[in-house]
Amino acid sequence: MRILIVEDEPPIADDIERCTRSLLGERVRSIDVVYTLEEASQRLRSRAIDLCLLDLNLSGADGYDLLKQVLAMPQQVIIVSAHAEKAITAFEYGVIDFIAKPFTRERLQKAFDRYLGKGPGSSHLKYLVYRCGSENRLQEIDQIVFFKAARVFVEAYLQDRRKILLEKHLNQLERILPEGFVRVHRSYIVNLSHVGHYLHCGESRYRLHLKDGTVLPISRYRYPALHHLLKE
Amino acid sequence: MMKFLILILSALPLLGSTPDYTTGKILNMSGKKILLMDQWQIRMGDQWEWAVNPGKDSSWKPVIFRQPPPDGDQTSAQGNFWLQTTITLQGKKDETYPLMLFFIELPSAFEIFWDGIPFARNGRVGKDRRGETPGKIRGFLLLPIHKTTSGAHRLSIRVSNFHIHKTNHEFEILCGYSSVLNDLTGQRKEENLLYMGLFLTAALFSLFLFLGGWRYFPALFFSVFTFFLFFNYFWFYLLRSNSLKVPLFYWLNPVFTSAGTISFLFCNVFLLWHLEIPRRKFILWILCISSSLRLISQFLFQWEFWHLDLFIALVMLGLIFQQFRKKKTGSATALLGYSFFLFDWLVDLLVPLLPVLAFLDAPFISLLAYSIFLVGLMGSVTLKMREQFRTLDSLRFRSQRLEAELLKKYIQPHFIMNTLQSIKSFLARDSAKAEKLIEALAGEFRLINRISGEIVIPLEEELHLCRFHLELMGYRRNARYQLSTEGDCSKFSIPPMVLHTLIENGLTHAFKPAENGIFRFHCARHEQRIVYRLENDGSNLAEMLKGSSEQIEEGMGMKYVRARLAEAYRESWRLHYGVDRGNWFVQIEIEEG
Repeated sequence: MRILIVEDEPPIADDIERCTRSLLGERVRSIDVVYTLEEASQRLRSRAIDLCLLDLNLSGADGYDLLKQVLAMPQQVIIVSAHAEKAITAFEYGVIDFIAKPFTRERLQKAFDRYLGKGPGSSHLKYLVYRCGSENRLQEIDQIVFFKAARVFVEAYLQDRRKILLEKHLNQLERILPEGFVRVHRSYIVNLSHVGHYLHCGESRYRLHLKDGTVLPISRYRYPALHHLLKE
Repeated sequence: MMKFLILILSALPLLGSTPDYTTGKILNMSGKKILLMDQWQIRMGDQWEWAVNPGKDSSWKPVIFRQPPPDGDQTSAQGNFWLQTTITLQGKKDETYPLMLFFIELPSAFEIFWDGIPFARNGRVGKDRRGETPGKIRGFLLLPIHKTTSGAHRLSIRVSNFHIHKTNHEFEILCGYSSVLNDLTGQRKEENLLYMGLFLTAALFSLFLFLGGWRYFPALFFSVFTFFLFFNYFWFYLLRSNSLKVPLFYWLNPVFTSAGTISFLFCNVFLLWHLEIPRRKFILWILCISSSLRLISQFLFQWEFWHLDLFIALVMLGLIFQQFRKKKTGSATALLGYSFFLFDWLVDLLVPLLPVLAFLDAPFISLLAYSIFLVGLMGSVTLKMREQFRTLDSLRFRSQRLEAELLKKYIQPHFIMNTLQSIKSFLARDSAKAEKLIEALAGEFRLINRISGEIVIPLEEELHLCRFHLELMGYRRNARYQLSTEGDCSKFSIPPMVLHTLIENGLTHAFKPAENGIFRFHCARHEQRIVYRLENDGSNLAEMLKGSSEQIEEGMGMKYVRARLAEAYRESWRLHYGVDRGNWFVQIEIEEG
């Protein structure tokens, strides 16, 4: 794991770094510490990062801009901030976790678990941030019909038949999406509210028919879970 | 409102009972009319026999009431003269009431004859000033009951005038039944009392408003305006009490009619300032000149220059209308009031246009117009007052809100949580530092708690607070911050947390974490001006400025600083900031006075 810590108070940055190392141990490939947001966005552009621990003051307008900018990039984000009242907003924008200061070792452990897919996902996600030219735009997730893996990134297909590209991995996305979204295939996550019916096509092959007429494949080992969900 | 309307409507027939006038030389005794005797003959000199035997008609010159005579107004000349006219009584006489004459402003003394027989006098007619005793300015004269029979009668008046110099007053003599004449004058007196009450109430109310703490100068002008108007009507009241002696009247009349001019001047001055009419100082000059002209003409020539006032009133109406179009507070009600003021003035001209006015009684129209005029202006003042109170309220609210906002900034998570996190991270490694951090935090809190409610605090106390904050932030950001001062800080004061907020802003924007920094504070007095200047040598901000435009969006901190300065020094302060020789500076200048 390549980790970036963004924290403007050096003693706290030290603390986070020490805790992270002791909690993740061998898993840590590198930890970078930067003190300002400008440095952070430079570092994110110049080298690949898996997880960003970000201290963000979300009370100003710039705070949201920076949050959007970071979230549009491939890495996952955990916010470590004293502005606990902004946690819900952060979740709506798609962060994995929000740790309120002053934090404990246990709380940090929980956040890493969530990142590693061991903990429950958050159900607060409302928007996904994507890049369009130099601009970071928000997409409401309710309008997304399904996601499709497209090499390292993900394509989201919308109700109005548009398609947007998200710089995320499908596995990462699965961790932050709320309950109505189900992984039906190695390359597909679908919004259950848009599912019409599914068909058995023989030789243990299944196909999912969406309300708008799109047909998606269902992987064999994911079928039982999906069958159970749709029956409910 | 409804009650008011009902009251006015029920008063309508009461006010409408003014008797009818006729002019000419014939009075019908069976009716209730008043004869306005407007056709007279005059003869200069003084001969007793003129009462019985007036002599040839050609030696008498005609004088017609309210028409300027071709060769000067001889009724206001000094010396002795006689007036005569005939009056024809017709119809059946009402035996209940006697017939009476009512005279107005016939200086200075006279004796009056009915068919050559003297029946009344006013003062004592004399051959010179010493021999003359002036009479009253107005009064009733009872006609001899048994001689007022049907037919033509001759009325002669022997006049002497040595007490009054040039006057421009036309005399008036009315004839009618005593009941009707008494009613007429009595009613006028009641109207006068009503006006006096109206104006005095308005004057005192606005004066008390002003004295009671609402330092709104136009309210004072309004008070002066209505007070002079009261004074003016008080004079009419005195006149109508029929007890003023001729010389006193001529002494006091210009004084009291000047009250009318002065009240008009103050009415306009009030409106100029109240509605913030542009170029009001210039207009004030014109108003003063015109009022002086009026006053001088009144005192010196007894000449009323009212056309000038009418012109000014029309101009003022135009100016008020202009403000009304700009939607100035209170301009609508002021426009309404002023229009009615002019309406009352011009009502005689408007009758042909609005025939309905002829059905309404003139005094009633006047009263209504004056009431609307006053109510309009007072309403306008009230609206202004409401606006001012609202502004004051919002200012007070804003200041309170900022204070609350500021306290929240320190007591709320953000600041304290971050500090606690720092303390936590120090505890494991460097407990001595953690202890110092706790002490600095406690020190800062204690001071903030004590000073944040004040409007200004000693500068040294503020600097003390800044040092606590710098120490605390130094630990948190792993840097050393210093605050150096220049000048004698013990002599100055400053609103609380102003420097503290500026330093906090500086720490957030100007310095990178772990970068040491120096703040320099400089205070000095240049005559009436106090200058505070805070600089820092942070590396970040100068760079930021180079890249972006000169404009920096002001955050909550700067707004707080401005609000605090405005609260303490109203408008006599200035704040500017920028980059000077690579250093960021904020400068506050305060005008003392």
